[in-house]
Amino acid sequence: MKFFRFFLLMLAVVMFVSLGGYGCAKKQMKGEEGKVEAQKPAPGTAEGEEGMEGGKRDVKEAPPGPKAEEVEREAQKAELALDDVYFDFDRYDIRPGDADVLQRNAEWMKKNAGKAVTIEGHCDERGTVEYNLALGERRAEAAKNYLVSLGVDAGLLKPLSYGKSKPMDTGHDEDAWAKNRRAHFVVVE
Amino acid sequence: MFALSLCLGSAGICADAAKGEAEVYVTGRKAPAKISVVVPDFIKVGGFKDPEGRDVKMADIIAADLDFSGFFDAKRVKEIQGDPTAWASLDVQNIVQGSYSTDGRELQVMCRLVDAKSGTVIFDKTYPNALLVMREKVHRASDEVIFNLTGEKGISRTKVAFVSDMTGYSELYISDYDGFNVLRMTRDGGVCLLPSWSPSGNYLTFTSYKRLNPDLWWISAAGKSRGMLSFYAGLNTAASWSPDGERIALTLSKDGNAEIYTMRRDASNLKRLTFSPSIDTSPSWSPTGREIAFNSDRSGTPQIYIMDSEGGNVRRLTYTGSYNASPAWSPNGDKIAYVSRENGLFNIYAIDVNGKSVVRLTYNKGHNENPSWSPDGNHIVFSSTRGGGKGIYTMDSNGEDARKLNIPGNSQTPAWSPRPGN
Repeated sequence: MKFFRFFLLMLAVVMFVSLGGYGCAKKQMKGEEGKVEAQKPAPGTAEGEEGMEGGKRDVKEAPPGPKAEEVEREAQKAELALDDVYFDFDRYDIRPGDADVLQRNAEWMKKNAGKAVTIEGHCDERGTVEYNLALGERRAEAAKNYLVSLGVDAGLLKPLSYGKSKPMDTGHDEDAWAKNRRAHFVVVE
Repeated sequence: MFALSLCLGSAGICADAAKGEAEVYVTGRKAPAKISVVVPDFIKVGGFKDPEGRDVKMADIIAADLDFSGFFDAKRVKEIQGDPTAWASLDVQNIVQGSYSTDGRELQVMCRLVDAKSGTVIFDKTYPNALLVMREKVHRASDEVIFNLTGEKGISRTKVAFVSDMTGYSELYISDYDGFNVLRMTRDGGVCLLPSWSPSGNYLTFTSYKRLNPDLWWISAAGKSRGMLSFYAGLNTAASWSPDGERIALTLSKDGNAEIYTMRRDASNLKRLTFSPSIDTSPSWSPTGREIAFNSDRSGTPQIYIMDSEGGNVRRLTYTGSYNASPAWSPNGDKIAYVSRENGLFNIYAIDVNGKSVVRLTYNKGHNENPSWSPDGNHIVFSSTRGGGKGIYTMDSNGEDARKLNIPGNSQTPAWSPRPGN
C-alpha cells in the first residue's frame, strides 16, 4: 500500500514537472520570436522579404491577397461615425467649425470607450512630397491634441500622415484642394 | 512636339534619331560646338538571318545616347559607302560603325570608332553575350565613344528609380535612363515614395506604407532582397545616402516633429541633427560628405538651408520666394537644384552653394518637382505635370532639351542612379 501511494506521488510529480516544463519552454520561445531586428543591407545576404525576379517586366499583375487599404476601408465602412476636419492652405490649426466636428468625434470616442482610431493627415498638391508628409502629420497631430484636450485617451489615437499621396479629389482647383487638406479618422478594428 | 530628324547634307539620307517622345525647348542660347559623328546601321556579320531589325535598333541606341549627352551632333545613316575619309569633307569628324553576329543562341556586338579625317581606328571593341542584355551592351559602346572623344565618363548605362501608379498603387520602379526596360520592384499595394540610390548603385532606400506606416526600406537594385531600415512610429522618409555610402540621412518625427537624423547604413548609431519645432526634411549631401542641404520652415515658410554633417553651422541659402524646398546638391558640388513655388506652381531652380546666383530651369509648365542630378552633373531628372498627369522628364543642367520618359501611369519622385560599378 505504501509503495503504491509512493508510486502515485512520483507519477504526479513527474506529470507536474513535465507539464510545467513544457509551459516554460513555450513561453521562452514566444519571447524570442517577439524580437524584431533591423535588417542589415549587407551585400550577398539574402535575408529580408520576398524577392522578385530581376528582369521580369510583369508590370500588369496586381498583388495577391486583400489590399492594405481595402482592409482599412472595410473597417471604416463599419463605423462612419467620425467626420473629417479640414484646414486652410499651408496651415494646421483647428478652425472653429472643425472644432465642433472634433467635439462630436470626441463624444463618440468616449461613448465607444477603448476603440483605437488612426488619424490620417492629408495635404493638397501644392506642396512638395517631403514637406507635405510632415505637414500632414502636423494636421493629424493637431486633431489628436484637440481630442486629447477634450478628454480622449491619447493612447487610442495614432496620427498617420499620407502627405499629398492619397487625395480625396484629384482635381486641380480650389474646390478639390480644399477637400484634400484634411484629417480623416479611421476606427481600428 | 516634333520628331527630331537628322539628315546628312547632300546625301539626303534621313533617319529619326530620337526614339519615344522628345520635346525640345529652344531657348535661344548658343550651344557649345558639338562633335560631329555619323552612325550607320550596324552591319550583320555572318549568314544567320536576324529578323528583329537589330541593325537599325542598335545604331539608334548609340545615336540617341550620343545626342542625349549634349556633346555630339549625331547623324544616322543607312550605311557608309566607299572611303570613310570622304566623310571628313562633309564636316563629319568621326564614324561609329557597329556590327554584330548571332547564331540565334547568343549575340556578339562589336563597335569601331574611326577618325574620319585620318581613317584611324580610335577603338574597336567586342561585347559578347549580349543576347539578353542588348541595350546594356550597346550603351557600353556609347560610353566608350563618349570617353574617347571627350574624356568624360558617359552616363549611358545609368538608371532612374521612380514611383508610378500604373498598377493602381504607387509602387517602386527602375528604368534605364532613357525610359526603356522598366522593372517593377515592389508589390506593396499601398504607397511607395522617394527612392534614393546608394553610391555603389547596389541598393536603394525608399519609403513604403506596406505596414500602414511610412517606413524606410532598403532593396537591392535587382529587386531580389529587401528589408527594413527605419520603422519608428511616424515619419521615416526622405532618405539620402552619404557619398561614401557609410551613412544615411533621413527624416524622422519620433521625437515630436519632423527632424533630420543620420544613421549608419546598418541602421545603428542614430544621430539627431536638427532641434527645432519647425519641419526639417529633405536632406541632400554635398559630394564631399561634409555638408547637408535641407528644407526647413524655421523662418516661417519652407526654405533651403545648409548645415555641416554633424548638424552645426546652420545657414540659410534661399531668400527669394516664399516656398523653396526639395534641395538636390549637384555632383560637382557647386550648385543646388531645388523647387520654388510661385502662384501655387512649382518650378525648378539652381542656386550656387554660396547663394549668390539663382538660375531658373523650368517655366510654368505645370508643377515641376523633385529634381535629381545625373552623376556627371550635366542633366537633371524631375517630375512634371506639363503633359497632364505626372511624368518623369530629363533636361540638361541649363534647363534645355526637356524630354519625357515613356512610362505608363503617373510617375514621380525620380532618382538618378550612379554609374554602374563595372
